[in-house]
Amino acid sequence: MIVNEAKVEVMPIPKKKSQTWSRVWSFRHAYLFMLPAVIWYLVFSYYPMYGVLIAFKDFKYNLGIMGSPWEGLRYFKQFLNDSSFYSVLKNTLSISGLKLLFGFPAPLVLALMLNAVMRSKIKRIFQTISYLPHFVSWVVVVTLMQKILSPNVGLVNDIREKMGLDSIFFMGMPSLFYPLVITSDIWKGIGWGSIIYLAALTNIDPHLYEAAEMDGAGRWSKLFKITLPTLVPTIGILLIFSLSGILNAGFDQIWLMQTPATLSVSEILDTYVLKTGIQQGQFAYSTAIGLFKSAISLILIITVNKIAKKVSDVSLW
Amino acid sequence: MRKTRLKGSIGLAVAIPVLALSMTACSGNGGNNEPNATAGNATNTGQKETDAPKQVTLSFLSAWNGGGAGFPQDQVNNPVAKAIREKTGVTLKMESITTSEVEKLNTMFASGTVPDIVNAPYWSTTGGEGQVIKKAALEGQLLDLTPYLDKYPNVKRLVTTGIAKDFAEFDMNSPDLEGKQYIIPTETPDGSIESIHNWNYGLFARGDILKALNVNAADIDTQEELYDLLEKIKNGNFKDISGKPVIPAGTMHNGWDSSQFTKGWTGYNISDFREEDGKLTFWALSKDEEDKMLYMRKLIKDGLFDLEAFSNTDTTAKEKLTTGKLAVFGAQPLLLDLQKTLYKTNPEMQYELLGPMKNKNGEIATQVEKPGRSGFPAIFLSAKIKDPDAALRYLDFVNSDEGRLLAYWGIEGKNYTMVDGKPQWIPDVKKQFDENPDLKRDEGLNFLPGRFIGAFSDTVTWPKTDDQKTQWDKLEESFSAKMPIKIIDKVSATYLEREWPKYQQYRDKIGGFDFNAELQKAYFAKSDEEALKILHNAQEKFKDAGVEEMTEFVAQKAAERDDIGY
Repeated sequence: MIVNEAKVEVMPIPKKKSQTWSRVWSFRHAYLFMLPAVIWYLVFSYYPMYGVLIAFKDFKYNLGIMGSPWEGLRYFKQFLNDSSFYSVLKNTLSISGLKLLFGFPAPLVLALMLNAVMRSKIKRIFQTISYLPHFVSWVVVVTLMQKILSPNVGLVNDIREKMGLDSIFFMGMPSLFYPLVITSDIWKGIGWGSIIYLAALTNIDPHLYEAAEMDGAGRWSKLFKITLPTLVPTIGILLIFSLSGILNAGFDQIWLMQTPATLSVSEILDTYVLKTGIQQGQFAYSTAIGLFKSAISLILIITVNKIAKKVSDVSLW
Repeated sequence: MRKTRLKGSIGLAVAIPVLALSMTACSGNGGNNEPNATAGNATNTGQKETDAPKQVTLSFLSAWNGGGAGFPQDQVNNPVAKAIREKTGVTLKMESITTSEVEKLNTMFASGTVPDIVNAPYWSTTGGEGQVIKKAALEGQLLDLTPYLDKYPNVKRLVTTGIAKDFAEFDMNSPDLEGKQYIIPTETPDGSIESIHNWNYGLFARGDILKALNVNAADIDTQEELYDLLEKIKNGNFKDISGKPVIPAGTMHNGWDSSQFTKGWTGYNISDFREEDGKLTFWALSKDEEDKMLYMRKLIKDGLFDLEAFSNTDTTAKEKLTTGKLAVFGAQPLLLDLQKTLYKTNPEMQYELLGPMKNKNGEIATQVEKPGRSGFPAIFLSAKIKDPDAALRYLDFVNSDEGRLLAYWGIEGKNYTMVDGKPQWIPDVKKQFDENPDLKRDEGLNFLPGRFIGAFSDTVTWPKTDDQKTQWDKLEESFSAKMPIKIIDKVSATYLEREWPKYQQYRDKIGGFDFNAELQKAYFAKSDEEALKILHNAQEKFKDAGVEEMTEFVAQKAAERDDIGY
């Protein structure tokens, strides 16, 4: 009893006046852990945000962002009237849509499969192997793809030629661009993406499965009646995130995989921003395109969140 | 509790400096704040006022993709750098890029991180790198050199010598620059015709393959003969040095220079306009564009051209070149890369110049020049440079007689001796350099001529006797002899565009439009019809911007003068 009383004394309920600060102080170590991330966001995400002003200005090097003259919505109108607008938007949505369609469920499927593996050693080996590609940069992945799929020195074409087949320029065929993007994206992200589902799966009460088994439920019944419904909140949250980022088709991957031969299907908003901004020096124009993308993403996240809240009670806020 | 506090304090003590360090690292300033960079003012010329020159470290950027190839391994203490430091007090910290030049320039100017001295491409002020540099100059990023030029006669000579009249008038001294001088041309001729450098662009085919096919390189000079040769190569089952099949034709990085494969449609042009059927036409609207594009498509479609040519990096392209993977390549002879690799291991594969190819008038398709250069590698100084005199002192010295001897020949007595007033390599040194070009580079003998010296020609100043020439010198000369430079002493009609009242509107509409990217899309389109559609759409873009009206205007203006060339 004495011990319990002592514990109560250590964690006093803070008085109303300084309640917030007392709570912060009592969790100061946790806040300290958060500090680097907060500083990172402030420095690299919030502080540069004032740079979006360039989108509304005729940016001059010597006048800087604040001093450059205002141009209103000129660059937004220019983008909407740009002959590339529809193709760039179409490509972005196509790649994102396909990634969502195939890439989003893939980690869930892998997690369910791993969860079904009974031998923990085998499970761990598969898990580790599937996580590894996440840590390999896109530069390495795409270089490997280029080497393996090269029409001149690539392994795949070497095999094809040995079989008497013609060599194929895989990386230069518009019809193969999306399949290559999606498969490489899934290969790279499936293991990492499955972690969150595996964590959610461990939270499912085993008694539910035991009860279901006693009622005669089979594997599929347990999957559809227990596992998936339990995972709905997790799936919902991740889906909201994915939908809000639908205009992010994956800059580094696409930029590296792009070839002149596939430009018609591979020019996305992010690569277009880089080309107009960094390569052509149209900083205001490219910032306007970037801001356009961010605005659409914000609208999407709010809308999807609202819909999700109404339909399934799953929401970010 | 005390222990926890201590841990917290240590954590913060570590985290804050790490963050501060990472932020500092992200805000690089191109070396302007080097600890030993001495602040000076514009009127202090250092060496002139004291015997010992003021010691200054300056940052230098070679804004050329792969521009660091000539840098010695020891940038600071190679013999040439040391000798220059003794004379000028200046140490250069050099860097280069392996990415797009224009991308680097844009990023550098937008972030305000311009190194003290930069050398970058300056081909025109209405497009590409030159346009970016001019914008930066007009917006205060570059140092106006006008007040300094009289103090540095060698630098002043660079600004006024070896430049085409029209380029000097309309590009270097265009009215919007208000009489200010921001750039120092390099790699320019000394004012004489014979000092204009021949770059020897052409098509080069592997000698052993030509021999096996019993083809005389000189006989291949039309587009049809070129196609037939490539087809024979494809069917000939030829291999590279690792025993893998060759690629019949290819280029260096990013398709440089695929235009060598369509020389049959060129003429001796110095402007954006072509005379077709007695009428003036803008180059992109020329009928030849369709034929050129369809020819390239045919090469690609028929498996005769490297499918990766337009996406090759410098590294992958050189890998193909130096392993004999490319049976024919279009570019310069690239002897520096080949002499220490393929030509050493497989001398029988030595590339031979095809043709030279004939242009559409049946003449040799060769380098066309005006008496001076229209566009060149140019040096500019950052507006934030702390000691502009140090930079100009350096440039003035390396462009003096003494500096040029040092740059090209090294140290007298160690690398060369003077015979009848002319430098001559010491035989042992020459032998070493010929056998291993990297030794010459590390001696500091490759980095200055290409990027710091102008209004000069080493071959004119120090003509080599036959016994002084390496086999590679002789090979280059043999290419130049086959492709003599064509001189056209006229004003480019392109400059008349600028007098067109709607010129700025046209620039705004066309700015950033990449015709070449559209052409490359067309090369890989599914069908000829689709390819032609892509090309026509690209041409429409020019038409929508008013290029036809502009061409009419140029034709009228040109008719009023007799010094305009197309």
